[in-house]
Amino acid sequence: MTTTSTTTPQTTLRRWPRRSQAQQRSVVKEVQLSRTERIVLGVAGLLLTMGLWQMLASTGQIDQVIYSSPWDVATSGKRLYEQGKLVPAFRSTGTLFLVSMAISIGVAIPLGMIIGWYSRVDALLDRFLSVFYAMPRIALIPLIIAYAGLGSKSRIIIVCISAIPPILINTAAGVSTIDRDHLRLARCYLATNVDLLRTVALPGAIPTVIAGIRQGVLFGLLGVVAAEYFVGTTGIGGLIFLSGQTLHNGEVLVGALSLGLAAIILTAGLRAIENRLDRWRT
Amino acid sequence: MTSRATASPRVRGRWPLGRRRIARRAQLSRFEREALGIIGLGLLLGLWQILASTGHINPLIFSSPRGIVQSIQYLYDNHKLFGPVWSTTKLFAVSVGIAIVIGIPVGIALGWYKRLNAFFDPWLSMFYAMPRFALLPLVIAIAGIGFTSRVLLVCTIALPPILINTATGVSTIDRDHFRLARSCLATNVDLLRTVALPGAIPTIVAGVRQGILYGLLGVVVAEYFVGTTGIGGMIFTSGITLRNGDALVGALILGLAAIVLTGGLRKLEKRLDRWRV
Repeated sequence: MTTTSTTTPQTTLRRWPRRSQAQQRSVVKEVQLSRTERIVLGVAGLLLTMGLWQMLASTGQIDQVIYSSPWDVATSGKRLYEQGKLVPAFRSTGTLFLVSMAISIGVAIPLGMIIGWYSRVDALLDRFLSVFYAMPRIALIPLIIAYAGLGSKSRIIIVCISAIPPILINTAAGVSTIDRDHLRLARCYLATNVDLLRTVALPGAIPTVIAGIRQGVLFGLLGVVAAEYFVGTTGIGGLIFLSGQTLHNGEVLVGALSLGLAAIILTAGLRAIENRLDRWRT
Repeated sequence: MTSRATASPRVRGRWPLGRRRIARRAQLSRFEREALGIIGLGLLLGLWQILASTGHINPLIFSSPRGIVQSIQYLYDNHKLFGPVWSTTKLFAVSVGIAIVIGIPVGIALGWYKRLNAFFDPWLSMFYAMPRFALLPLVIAIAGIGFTSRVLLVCTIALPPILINTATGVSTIDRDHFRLARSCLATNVDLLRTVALPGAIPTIVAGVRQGILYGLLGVVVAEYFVGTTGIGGMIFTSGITLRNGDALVGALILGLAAIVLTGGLRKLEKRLDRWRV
């Protein structure tokens, strides 16, 4: 190993460069941004892009009816709020999302644990699950509507079906890739299945499970929008759909951006939870 | 293995602890896994068929394996199968192709230049986390209803995971590798070509995999909403006319396509990532 690493520079550079040549080469520099620098640059980026967008829209370089503008988005948001459309839409979408995610997590984590732990169950269900996971599950919407009609039941099923597979598959993967040494150690202490699951497999699987929930949240939000488009245009998704049809693109962006913000807050919250739960590692 | 198996019964006699059922995990051989997988599939299909035939579930809604076979036959006889498959394949290939061609270079630039990354970070993370088909009305307003608009929608949905993963992979370069390269007077381009990119392959491939899954979602949404064409359109119209067998055929085709694509990607990753061993 040491011999190869000392010979590589010579082989790649052909001959060792003289000092003058070496100075001419712009050798890579390490750029480490501090937290403040990142935040300042981020805010600057946000302001500059919005300023540019506003300028292009105000000067008519881009069509404001289609591309909207920051100002238009702000006034649309205010108008929607004053018309009393924004808060009920949020409430309805929030309820749908929370109920469905609670069901999804409640179903997917126990099932994922069983599948991850019992390799025979895993092998039995593997084909079915991987098709179901990889498939664009929105394709099943017509079936769900035929089964559950056009109501909140249908919407909840659509969101659950979007969110369950990533959580389930990640939980199973996290539990099944248990550290072999930990498993042996636990066996030496005569740990039962339940002990092992509680003290070794689950704590070790936390990062994977949380990653699954994060994916589940993102897919769940996709499911929420799809459900609200298709099944009785309600909530934020319905608001977006109806505003789009009347070409109020500012309102569309209000809806889309608020969903994006919600997604960012949720994933940040999950990261905080993960840091807390995964503290045992250090 | 054998010594452990004989050890536990001896313990059982002596200790109260011996009554405990010590954790054990089955290690399946490849053959066992395959066999169980086929049995599982057979059982599932059998159960489904029995429930449907005996009327415990409504075959009109849930269809049945036989219903699906009949649907395939029906679609094939009426020349409704290959047209949609081709149209969907074209849409998917063009859009995901564009998403990869844009996403990987832009992702490399964003992963490499930390200031650029910090500058665009708020928009990108927003765009990545957002359920992007909320932008559907905007896409239709920009590009109308046609192939362009479908491609734009699928690209919007598939691009961010590819881009963000590439950026993450390129930026999380191993510190020791970086220092070694510096000692060898590597330039930016050298470092990128010989250290950052090879190291980022698993992350980039994971991004492309996510991009493919999101892209398939995008294809279905695009075909539902932007002129009912392709497999998505077929599923939609079958659903409206309550021919759920046909809808399931469409969904299964998409599922199988997803599996084939991700399987192929895994092979490609193994090939590209061979340098690690």
